[in-house]
Amino acid sequence: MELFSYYDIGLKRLISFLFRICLGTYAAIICISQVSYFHYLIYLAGFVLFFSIFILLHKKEGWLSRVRLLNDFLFIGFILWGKDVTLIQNYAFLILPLINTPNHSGSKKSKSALALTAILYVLLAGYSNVNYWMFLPMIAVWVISLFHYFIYNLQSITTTLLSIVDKSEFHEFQLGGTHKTYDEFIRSFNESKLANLFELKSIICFLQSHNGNYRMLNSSLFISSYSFKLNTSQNELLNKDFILKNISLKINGILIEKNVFVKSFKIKLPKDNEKESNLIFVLVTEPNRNGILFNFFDLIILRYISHLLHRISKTIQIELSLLEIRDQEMRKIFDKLTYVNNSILAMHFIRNKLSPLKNAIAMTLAQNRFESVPEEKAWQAILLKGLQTSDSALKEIETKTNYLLESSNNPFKIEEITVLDIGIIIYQLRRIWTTHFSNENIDISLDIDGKNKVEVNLYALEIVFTDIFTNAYKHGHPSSECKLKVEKNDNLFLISVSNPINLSPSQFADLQSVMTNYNEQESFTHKSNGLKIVKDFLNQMKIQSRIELTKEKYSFNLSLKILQK
Amino acid sequence: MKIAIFENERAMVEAVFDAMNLFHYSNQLIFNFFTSSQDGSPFESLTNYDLIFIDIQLSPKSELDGFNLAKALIPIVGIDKIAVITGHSNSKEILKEMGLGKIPVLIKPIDFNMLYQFIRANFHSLS
Repeated sequence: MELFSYYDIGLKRLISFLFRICLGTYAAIICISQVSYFHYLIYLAGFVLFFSIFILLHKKEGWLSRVRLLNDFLFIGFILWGKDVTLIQNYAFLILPLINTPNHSGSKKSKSALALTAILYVLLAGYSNVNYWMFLPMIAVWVISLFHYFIYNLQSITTTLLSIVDKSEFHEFQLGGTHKTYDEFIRSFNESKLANLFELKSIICFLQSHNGNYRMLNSSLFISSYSFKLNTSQNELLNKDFILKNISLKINGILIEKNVFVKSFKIKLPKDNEKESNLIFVLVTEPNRNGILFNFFDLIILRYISHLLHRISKTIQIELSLLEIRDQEMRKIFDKLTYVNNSILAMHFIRNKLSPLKNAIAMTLAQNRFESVPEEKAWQAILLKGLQTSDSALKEIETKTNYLLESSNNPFKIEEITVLDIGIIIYQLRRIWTTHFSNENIDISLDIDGKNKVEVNLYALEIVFTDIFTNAYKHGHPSSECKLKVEKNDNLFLISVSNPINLSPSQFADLQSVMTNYNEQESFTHKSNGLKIVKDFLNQMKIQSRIELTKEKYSFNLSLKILQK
Repeated sequence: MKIAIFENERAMVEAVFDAMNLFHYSNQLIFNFFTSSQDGSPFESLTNYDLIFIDIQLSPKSELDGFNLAKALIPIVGIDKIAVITGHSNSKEILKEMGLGKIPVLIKPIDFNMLYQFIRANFHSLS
């Protein structure tokens, strides 16, 4: 934005310079083409003085810029002095500064320009010769210039606000942090020239669900309570892109009289099964100008803002969808945590119940050490009682172990297998692969035409790929390149990850043992937990997998059966 | 010598204590079992005991769990008479965090010999 304002100022200065060139040239044409009132040397001195003052004040701001404006009018008055101001070419020269009004920074200067033009006209024409119709073009040009000035400022702030929205959407996207955009949005708007019309106090976003209920999503200020009611016709108007002003709205118990309800945007959230919800933005405003013309300008500004809010609503939709997915994932993790927690509790339970058995064994080993019969009998009685307790404790242990071993309780059990196009699997493969390796080392020798489908659980397959690629990356030789090959052979979809190796004989023997265990056993029993999960998941999805090993390379091969049409 | 045992599942440890009593102490020990913290009230009455074993997990109706019972008893009976008996491995860390790291902890499952060795190692007056 700083760059934008730098160029903006530069452009204004260039226009200002060109305007004076235009003024000087026009003046020269008038001097040459019409009968002179002063001596030509006086005109020449006037030109020199005009351009000297302009150059001196060219980059000046504040009251000196007004002197610059006054310099223009004095020069015009000097050139037109003694000439017929009703002539069209002279009149056009007189109102020339009004055309430059959009280049002025500030409405006061713009008004001064109109007043100075009018005064100069009266002075040049003579009070008794004033034709009031001559003021009409003057005012019309001034109003047109004002519109240009307004549109220029509107475009300027729109660019600024758009860049704020872009920044929050693409560069600084933060889950649950869209409301932070509002603060910058409000600050930039209030710093713009348009804040002369109204000030933006806050932005609030409501979600109207498909059943008609409202819920506040986010806002630029902390809101503890709110209340408003939109009747059916107001709702319809909002849905037809109308802007509703000054709805009865209470925020934190305070009545907010000046507010604007901006168009409701339709969004779809995953949990609502494609049913549409509406996003409604409420702008709390503080008018600085009143009147029909200003209300008209307000509406134009609000229309522009509503387009920008539409962009924000897209970000909110993405944010809501991501939050929903995150919540689902959290629930899944929570289920797993519950299982793990229950397993820990079960282990503690088992530990508690093992004392009678452990004690009974110790007592059995220590029996026949007593010399007296009563002591021996007492010992046997304790042992018997301990064994009875052990018996019931073992039954309880059995129940607990059943819970742990029951596959339906295991959250790592794949429950859902879906039919997926191999294109989706290749997309996931490539995505995970490129987090570790170069895209160039992928060899895909098949056409993705949407006709080849396999049965998998994508989530489990992602875990499998992640583990295989992470290990390939971790154990790969730094000087060699790991390769991924994807191909189709008859009705099989083949995925192969190969990794060049350079191992010592003992390391090679270890790897060979891993390979034999993996390829020949139904369930992998080696110490590698990652490979255990990989084998377990692949078995559950009925995906054939093998590890191949030569002196030069290690490869992990998967083969998925392509479904017959 | 008297030993108080705060234990939710008395049956799980009773034989352990009985066997230790017979084997190592010639039945000289007297045990009293309590299933909840309030069973032992008033706590001043526990000063008569030479040793107090506390299980961390007491009866669901117990007003205090094992940790807080130990904390409540220390000013009355003294820390040197208290031992914790539990199946939870992290009990030692929790006791440390509570500033009760000096209390010895016996992890279940236990047998009568382990219990005897534990008492010998930590409570010299009883050995």
